[in-house]
Amino acid sequence: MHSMILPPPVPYPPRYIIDPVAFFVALIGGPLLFTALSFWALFIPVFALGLGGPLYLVIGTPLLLCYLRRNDGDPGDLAALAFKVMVLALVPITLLALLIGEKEVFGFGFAFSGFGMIFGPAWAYFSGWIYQRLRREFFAKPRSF
Amino acid sequence: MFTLAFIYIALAFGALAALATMILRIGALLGTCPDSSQTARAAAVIIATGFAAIGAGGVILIGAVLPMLPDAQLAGFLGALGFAALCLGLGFTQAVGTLRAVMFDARTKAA
Repeated sequence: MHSMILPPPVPYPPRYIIDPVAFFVALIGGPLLFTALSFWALFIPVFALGLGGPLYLVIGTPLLLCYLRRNDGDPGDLAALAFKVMVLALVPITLLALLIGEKEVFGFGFAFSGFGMIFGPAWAYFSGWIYQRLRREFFAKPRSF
Repeated sequence: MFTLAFIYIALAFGALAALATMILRIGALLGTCPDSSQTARAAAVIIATGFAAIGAGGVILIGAVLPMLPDAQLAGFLGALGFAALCLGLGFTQAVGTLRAVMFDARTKAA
């Protein structure tokens, strides 16, 4: 049967589908778990959760929805992805600072993304760890359909 | 403020309802095949229900940001609406992907 939903058998890259329950539990639980494990470090992770948490949700949700469709959610891969995103975030920050012509914007953005390069990968690692343990078998295998 | 909030709710929930309806219609289209009609219809109803529930939660949570930005109402409104549309679209892709996976597994099992 050929349709928009069941296309003819052509070479098509394998795709995962995301377990929605596991995804949202992992998305929110990952940062919380990391903070719960590391809050003793001068409470810096708690402040980081408050400052970076909303940004993590705004950037992380669509990005992970795309990424986990193409990749198995290995914790190390997700941490590397988070690090790359935080490095790439420096580009718009630098452009904005150049455009406005204020050094404070760059300094603030650099400090913000610098902390992001530490906490982003840590949160993403724990998210991937939770996700791989929670997701059901139906969602764990790639299909080339 | 209230006007923008009302427009946000109307547009976001309208998009959510339209996408959930589309999942059901895709399920109905797949259900025309006699071999897999039961699988397709049941899966479409389950997936559309989950999509509607998660989508409604997301739309409300994103909308909760609107009252926090009283100084930048229009920017907040457009940002929230754009982010909601982005996430609903990605969720719809996942929902149709799940529907396809169910059909794929059913076909593999039958073959």
